[in-house]
Amino acid sequence: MAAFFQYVIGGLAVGSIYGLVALGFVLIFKSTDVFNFAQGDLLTLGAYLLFAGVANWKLPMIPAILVSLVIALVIGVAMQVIVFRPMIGKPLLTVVMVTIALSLIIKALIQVIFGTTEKTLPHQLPNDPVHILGLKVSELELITMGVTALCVLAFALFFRRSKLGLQMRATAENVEASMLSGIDANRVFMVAFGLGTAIAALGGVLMANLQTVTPQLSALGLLAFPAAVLGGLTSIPGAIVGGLLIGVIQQLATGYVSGQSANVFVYGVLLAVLLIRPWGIFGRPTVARV
Amino acid sequence: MQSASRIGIALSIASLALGAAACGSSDSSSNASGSSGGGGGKSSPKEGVTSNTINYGLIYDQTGPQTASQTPFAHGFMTQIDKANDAGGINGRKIKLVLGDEKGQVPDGIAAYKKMVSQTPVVGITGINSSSIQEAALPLIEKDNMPFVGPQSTVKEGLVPVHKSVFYIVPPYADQVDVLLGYEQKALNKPKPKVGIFRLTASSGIEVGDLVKAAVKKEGGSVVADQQMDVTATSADAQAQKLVSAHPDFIVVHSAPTQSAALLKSMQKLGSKIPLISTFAGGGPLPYAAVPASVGSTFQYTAPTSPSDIKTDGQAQMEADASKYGYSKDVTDSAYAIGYISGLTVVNALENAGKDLTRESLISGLEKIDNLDTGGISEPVSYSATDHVGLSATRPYKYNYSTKKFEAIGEFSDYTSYITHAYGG
Repeated sequence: MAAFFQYVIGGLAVGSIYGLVALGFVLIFKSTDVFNFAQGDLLTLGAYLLFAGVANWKLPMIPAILVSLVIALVIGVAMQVIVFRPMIGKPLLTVVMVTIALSLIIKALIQVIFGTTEKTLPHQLPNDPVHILGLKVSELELITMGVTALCVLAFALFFRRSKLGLQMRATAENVEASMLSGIDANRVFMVAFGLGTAIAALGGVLMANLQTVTPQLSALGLLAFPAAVLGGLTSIPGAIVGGLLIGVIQQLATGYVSGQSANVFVYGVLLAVLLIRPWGIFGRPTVARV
Repeated sequence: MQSASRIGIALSIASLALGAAACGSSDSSSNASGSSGGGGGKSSPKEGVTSNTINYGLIYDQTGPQTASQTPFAHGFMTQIDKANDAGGINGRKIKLVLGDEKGQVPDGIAAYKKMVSQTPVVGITGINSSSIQEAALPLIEKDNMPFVGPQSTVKEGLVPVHKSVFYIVPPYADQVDVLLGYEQKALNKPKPKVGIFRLTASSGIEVGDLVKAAVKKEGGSVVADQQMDVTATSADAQAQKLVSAHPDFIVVHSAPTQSAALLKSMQKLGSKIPLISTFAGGGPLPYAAVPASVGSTFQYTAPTSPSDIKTDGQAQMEADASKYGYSKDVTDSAYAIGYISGLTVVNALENAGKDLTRESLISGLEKIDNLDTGGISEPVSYSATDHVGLSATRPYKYNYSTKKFEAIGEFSDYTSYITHAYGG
């Protein structure tokens, strides 16, 4: 039984990161209707920005993390202004192709700037074990889960209590009506992309400490898509829950069956949920008036 | 009707073109075999040799999951080639490296190899380091009689039986397992050990797993856990948990450095102090850089070559060469040293092959290598008609976090008695 809970703890930690990346994805999709296939690569970008901060610019960890997030936010805003704003009104397939192209460009740029070999952070967040109720949880796992919980709380407050958050919710509901109400939709889109990119980069920052800094992190970022779909494409708490579920399923499958079977279980569960609830666990069915 | 006839004509033309291409490629391969099997046939551009250049192939993982270990290997190899070219080349010919990216995938590795047989022909190839790709390529290498020299991994299929054109540098996994098991049993005073295994899902992982199980059983010990990790995976939490809960005396690791690093991070989370010892593939700077000293001190690996921290004349030369050709960052990695020795071996073989360089004469040149001195980086390299493994000795290494240097544990000769030569040689 202890082994089961140990797998669950490990799954919650890595699932928190999937949830963060999925949260960024949902934020962008909910506000702008853009299905951003580059979201996983933004996780990798965050990891490499942190590496640059601590290894190249010799910053202590916390300032390096903050600098990485700020740079990621600026990159997200730039992406919206330069790439996605001109795509408003264009066919969906065209926009999807643009995000795929962006994904490949980010991957290639990372390899050109940082090289293709794996790297480790010269100093890392603490990772020693802590004993809780007979289980071993590492300090880093606790930090990861805590950061994710804080992000969920912060976004909940942001969307409910802040003027900008309300504007984003209004824009997500109906862009035309919100513009008619005087909301600057372009500003909302910029904020959505900036925050979505920064959140994904935060996932990369945590992953760089949990693992090594490698271009292969993009493959982990890809799991944000099933996490977002599982939780509900327009649900922010759903993104986090979806990520946690994916992480736990992965760990349990690896522990009780084999590493190769993990994806079978992850996508099998996704398939089963979508057959029953196509809009995801926390999503809402869309109703169109005819 | 008109469109149907146009389609028919197009299909006919396409079939003719494919047939012509197939005939052309079989012609070129038979020509290549003919000239290389002629025993003293003249140098030919069809085998990558012109009056002033020698095309030599280097295939390694440039962009895939194993770049961490394979790029330093490639850089070590390139160092020797650059050095030979700066000294005037081989018999008046400069060596031109033709690079291929195996990307850690069998189809990409095979495609890169096939290009070097006929499209951009080479006189020999080094690399194809991933065991799964190597196993897939070996039948083609044999068919083409392509000299294949010194990859990072030595697979059983390439040694048993000995293939005419296949020459390894690194001792086979059978010898590596003999040394690491013998060393740990003695160091921990566990004559009948309980052993855990952590290995890749690649074919070399299967080979190492089988070797460890057979050897441990022979000693009267037991394998208490056997965990596998995919080469593309980056988390080993579940595997580490199963290994730790089985309470082994030590864990044998066979993975790439990335997976070794992931395992060490997971062991750190679990607070484990179980000793880990890796084959050559899983060692190097990356695993030690990933964790603090309290965890890294539990990890050792075996290798047939020494990193530049261990000072000998050969090491000093290797460091100087690395600095000159821009590879200083890689020189502390044992993988760089393997590539450096492989490069030295190839250069020596090309010299032995003489002016009339063909694939066949290169094979003869390789078999002439006897006690090639590496200046203390490794034992001398030797081949014969029946022994195509250049280095037979390997020893364990550890990392000293205080001095930030790698240290050898004993001499190569301390471990030769452990080796049973299960694959011959």
